[in-house]
Amino acid sequence: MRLPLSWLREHVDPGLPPEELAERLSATGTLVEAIHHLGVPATNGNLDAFRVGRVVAAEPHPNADRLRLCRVDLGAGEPRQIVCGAPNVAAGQTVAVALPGAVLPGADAPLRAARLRGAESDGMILSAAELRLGEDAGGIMVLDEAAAPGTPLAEVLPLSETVLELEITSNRPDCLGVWGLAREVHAVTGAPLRPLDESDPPALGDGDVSDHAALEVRDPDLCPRYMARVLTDVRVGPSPAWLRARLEAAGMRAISNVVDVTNYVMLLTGQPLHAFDLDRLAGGRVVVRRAREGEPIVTLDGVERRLEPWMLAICDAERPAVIAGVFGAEFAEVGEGTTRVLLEAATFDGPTTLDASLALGLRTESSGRFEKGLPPELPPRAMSIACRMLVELAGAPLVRDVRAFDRYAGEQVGEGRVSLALRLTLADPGRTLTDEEIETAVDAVRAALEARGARPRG
Amino acid sequence: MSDQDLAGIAARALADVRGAASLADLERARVAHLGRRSPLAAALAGIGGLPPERRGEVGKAANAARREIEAALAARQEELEAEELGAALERDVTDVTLPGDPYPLGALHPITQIRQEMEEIFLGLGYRIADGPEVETDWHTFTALNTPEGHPARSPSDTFFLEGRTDRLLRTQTSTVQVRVMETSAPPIYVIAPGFVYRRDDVDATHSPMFQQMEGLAVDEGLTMAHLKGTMLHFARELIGADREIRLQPHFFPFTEPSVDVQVSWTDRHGREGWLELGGAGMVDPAVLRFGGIDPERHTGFAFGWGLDRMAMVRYGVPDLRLFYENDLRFLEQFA
Repeated sequence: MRLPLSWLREHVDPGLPPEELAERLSATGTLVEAIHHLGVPATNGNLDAFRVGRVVAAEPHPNADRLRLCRVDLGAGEPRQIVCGAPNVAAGQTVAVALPGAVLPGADAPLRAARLRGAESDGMILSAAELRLGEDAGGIMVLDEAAAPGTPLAEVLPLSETVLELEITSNRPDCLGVWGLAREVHAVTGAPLRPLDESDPPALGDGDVSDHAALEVRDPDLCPRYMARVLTDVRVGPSPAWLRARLEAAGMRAISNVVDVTNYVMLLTGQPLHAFDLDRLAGGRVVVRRAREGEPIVTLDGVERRLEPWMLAICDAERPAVIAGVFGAEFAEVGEGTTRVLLEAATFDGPTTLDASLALGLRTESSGRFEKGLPPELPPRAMSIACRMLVELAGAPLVRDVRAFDRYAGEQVGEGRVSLALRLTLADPGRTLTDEEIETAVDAVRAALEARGARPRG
Repeated sequence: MSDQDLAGIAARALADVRGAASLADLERARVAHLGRRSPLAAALAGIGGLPPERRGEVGKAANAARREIEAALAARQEELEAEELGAALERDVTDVTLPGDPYPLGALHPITQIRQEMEEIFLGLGYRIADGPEVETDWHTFTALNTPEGHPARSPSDTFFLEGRTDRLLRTQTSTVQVRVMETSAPPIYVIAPGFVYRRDDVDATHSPMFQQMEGLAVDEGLTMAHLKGTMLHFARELIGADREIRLQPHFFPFTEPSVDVQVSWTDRHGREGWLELGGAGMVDPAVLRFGGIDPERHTGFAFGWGLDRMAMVRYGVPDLRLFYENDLRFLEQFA
C-alpha cells in the first residue's frame, strides 16, 4: 500500500518528519518498506521558487521563429521577461513559472537565468510533464485564472509528494486504505483524527432508482451485501490535477473522472467500487448470480475468458458484466459517451474472489482487498463519499430513493462490542501494564470508532 | 621324402623359433612351421604315399622333428615372456618418494553446520529435537495452525500439492511439527524442529522452492512474552555475538498472537549499524493450543521460526542463496 502523506494529513497530521513517522509505524506493526519523494524536490525552500504567473505579453522572438518573448507578471515588482518555446503560450494566460534557482524534478542543477538567441530569459514557463503532473509535454500548462500572480505554485498544484510504501499484513485489510492508516497513525501518535464526511449529497436526479434499473441478488451466500445507486447526466472527462496526482502517487493510473472517483474512494476507505454505464446494461438489470458453465466475458484487457459455475458474476439481463470483485467487461464500462451511471458498492465472499482471481490469472487492486474479507458495513460509507464526489466532479445528479438498492443478506452488526482478554494482555508482555496504560490504548481505539460514527459501549 | 629333407625342415624351424625377437614373431614361427600348411604337416600327410617299409622310419623322424620344434617353441616362449616382464618392470619402476594420490575428505555443508550450532544452543537450554514428515496433511499445515479453508495462504499457487490430492502436500513450514508434538505429548513442551520446507517460489538470489527452517515451540504454565524475549536474546548472543541486542517488532502470523519479527543489531562490512531480521516469533494463539489438545486456560506458549539458509547467508556473507544448492566444490570447500 502506497500512502501519499499529503492525503494522510487531511485526516490526521502527526507533525512528524516522514522518517520518524515511518519509524513509529514500523515499530507498531505497519512496516514501512520505503519512503519515496515524488515531483519537485521540497527541500531547502525549493518550492518557493515555483510561482503562479500571468502572461502580460507574448511577442515573437526577433531571432527565432519558434520562440516567444513573454512578459510575465509574478505579483511583486516589474513583470519578468521569459523566453518560451511552447506553441500554445498567449497573453492573458495564467501559468506555472519556475524562477532562477528552482530545482526541477529530475534535474541535477538549479535553473539559471539565461540568454536565448540574444534575449534574456529570467525563468521558465512550465509544462505538466516538467512538473511530473502529467504526460503532456507538447505545451505549457494553463492554470485556472482564479490563482493570483505571485501565489506559491504549491498552493495551487500538488507539486511535491512524499509516499510511504507500507507492508500491510493479511490480518489488517482495514489498513489497505488511507482512512484506516489515518486511524493507525492516530493510535500510534495521538494526533487528532478528523472525521470522514460520510453524508449523502442531495438527490436531485429524475425519477426514482427503480425507474432506472432493477436489482436481483440470486446468490446471497457469495454476496452478503450489494448496494447500487444511479446518477444521471454524468459528464465524463478528465479528473482535476489534484485527484490525478493522488491516484498516481498511490500507484494507480488516472483514467476519467468517474473511474478515478471509484479508485480514489477505494484507496481512501479500502472498499472497492464499480461504475457501470447503465445504458449498456441489457434491460437496465443487475443480476448477481453464479456464472454458467463456460459463460464468456471479454474483460477490459480485451481478453475473452470463460467462467466456471462456482464463480460469481454481476450480470445484466443477458450476460456477465463483471467477474465479481475481480475485473469488469468491456461492454459495460464507463466511457466518453456515458451519461447514466450505476454505482456498485458490495461485499463479496473472500475465498470465492481469491479462487476466481487465481483461476483466471487476474490479480487486481479490488480482488486483493475482497479476498481478505471485507466487512459488509463498509459499502454504504464508501458509496456516500463516492456519490458526493461524482456530483461535484462529474456534475451528476444522484437519483432519489438511495436506499432502495441495498440487499444485506446477513444480520446487521450495528454497534460493536469488543472484549479484551485482560489475563492474556497482562501475561503476554511479561510485565504488568498499569490501568492507565490500558485505558490510554483503548481510548485511542475508541476515539477512532467514534470518529467513524460507531458508538462503542463499555 | 628323405631324412635330409626332414632334417632341413627341422633346422629351418628351429632357427626361426630361436631367432624370434618377440612373442608375436614366435607366434608367426609357430604357424609357419607347425601350422596346417607347414612343410612338416605336408611331410606327415605324405607318409601314407610311401612304401610301407619306409613309413615307420619316416613317421618316427617326422614326429621327432615336431617334438623338437615344440620344445624349442616352449623354451623360446618362456625366454621371451621373461624378457617382456623384465622390460615392463624396467618401464614401470615406482617412485615411492612421490606424494600419494589425494583422497578427498568430505566436510559438513555450511547449512548443516549452522543447523548443528543452533541445535546445540537450544539443547543447552533443555530443548529436545523433534521431527515430522515432509509430506504433510492440510490439517497439520494449515487448519491446526489457524489458517482456515479459503485463506489466501492455502492457495495452490504457493504450495506443492500431491497430484490429484487437496489434502496432501509438501509442508510449507516446519510449524507443522508444533502441531504433531502437541498432539502426542503433554506440557511442559520444549522442542526445536529443523527440516526442509517447500514453496512454489521461482529460484532467485533469495528464493528457492526448497529451503530449510528451524521451528521452536515452548508450552508450559506461566510462559509470557518475557520468556520469549529472553530466549531470543540468549540465542542471538550465542549464535552471532555476546555484544548483540535484539528488538521485537510487531508482525502478523496466523498461529501466534501477538506476533513479532525478531531483529538483531548488526554492523555491516561498511561499518553501518542497523537491525537485521532473524525470523518470526510470537505467543502461540490459544486456538492453536486448542487444536493441539492443550488447554489454553492453563498453559501458554511461544513459538519461533528461523530460515536456516538465511542464517547461513548472513553468517557467512553469502549474497546468493543458490550457491548453497549448486554443490560447487569450490564454494563448499571454503566452509570445510
